[in-house]
Amino acid sequence: MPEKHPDELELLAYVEEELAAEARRDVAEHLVACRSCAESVRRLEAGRSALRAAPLLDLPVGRREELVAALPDRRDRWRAFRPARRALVVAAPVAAAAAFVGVFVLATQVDLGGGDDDVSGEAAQVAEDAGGGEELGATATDRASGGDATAESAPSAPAGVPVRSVAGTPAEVVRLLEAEGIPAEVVEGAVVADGRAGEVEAALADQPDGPVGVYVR
Amino acid sequence: MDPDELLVRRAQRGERFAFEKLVERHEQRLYTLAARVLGSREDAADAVQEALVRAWLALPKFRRDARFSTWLYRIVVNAAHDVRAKRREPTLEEPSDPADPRDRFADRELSGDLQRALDALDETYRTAVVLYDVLGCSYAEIAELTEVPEGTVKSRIFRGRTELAALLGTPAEPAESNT
Repeated sequence: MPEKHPDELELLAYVEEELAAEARRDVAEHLVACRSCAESVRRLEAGRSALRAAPLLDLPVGRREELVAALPDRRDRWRAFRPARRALVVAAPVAAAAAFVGVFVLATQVDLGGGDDDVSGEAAQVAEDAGGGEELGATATDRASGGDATAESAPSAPAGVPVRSVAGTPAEVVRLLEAEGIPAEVVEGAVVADGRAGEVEAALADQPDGPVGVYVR
Repeated sequence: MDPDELLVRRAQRGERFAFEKLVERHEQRLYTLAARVLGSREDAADAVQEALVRAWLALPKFRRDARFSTWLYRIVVNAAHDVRAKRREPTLEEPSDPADPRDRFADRELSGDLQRALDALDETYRTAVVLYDVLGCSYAEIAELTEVPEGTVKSRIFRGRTELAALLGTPAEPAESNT
């Protein structure tokens, strides 16, 4: 028998087959001659078998619905998902109807936003865009067709309304934010920052308005 | 990439539906974790409830440097700990009739030998083996969510498993060896 017993971690690694070939061979040789280590290995394997045979358990029937219903309202900025704008050509009647729905949805969103100044700014901006018709129409059609389905189809798009919409390219805006210590990334042409809205606004205070939407998460 | 990332981003922005999908995806594992740690189905449901409320409220601050599931497990472990502290008394359920597995609260495992043996372990060992062997977490994930070094995690798994085997009185030829 080798003079030194493997320690707990080595025995676990042996049982889990994490040892390199040479170390594995050494432990195996030791186990042939050492009853106490062999017993540890046997117990490690027996304990593992008992635990791994345990099934996953299901919540009592109906309990998930109760759990979800019990979630409180979360008072954060983003209450609704809005997909990235996409230039889609849609038939004129659909666009007209959808634009109407879109304005209604935006109005609802403004109400929900409470005292948030940025929201009204965004609403005004989109109201201007509404003159253009089709682009907004496409967006509104997405919404009208069911928020959940829309969200599944473009899940990584920024949601809600931007903190700011600034000049430059998304990459430049990310650099500006990161220079202020705010992690940020480009998501579908917009910038999503990991920070508080106030910090992001302060970091971009000198940046003129432009096409790059900046969101916070 | 974390398979939950897209849903997590949406839920972070306040989309309840996305969070519900995440709950649906993880509920079985969260519940199993809580039930095995607490030894009680009712307490486990309470712990999961509390954990999901905490997770939902804290989600905007989740920075996605850990897997979402690891983050959730951590919240469940903490919530289970709090539920246990509130109970302050043995939490094993009334034994239910194992002959009727369809009963809403009947659960042979929770009232069986394995759960009794788990309940007899030190809580840190129990949490480690449940995360590793029942839920399939890695050493690194367990280290992160229980806030101890990986070496400690491995030591807890070693002790948890070997003590469990001793408590179960496994025969020299374990019955499980043929599965």
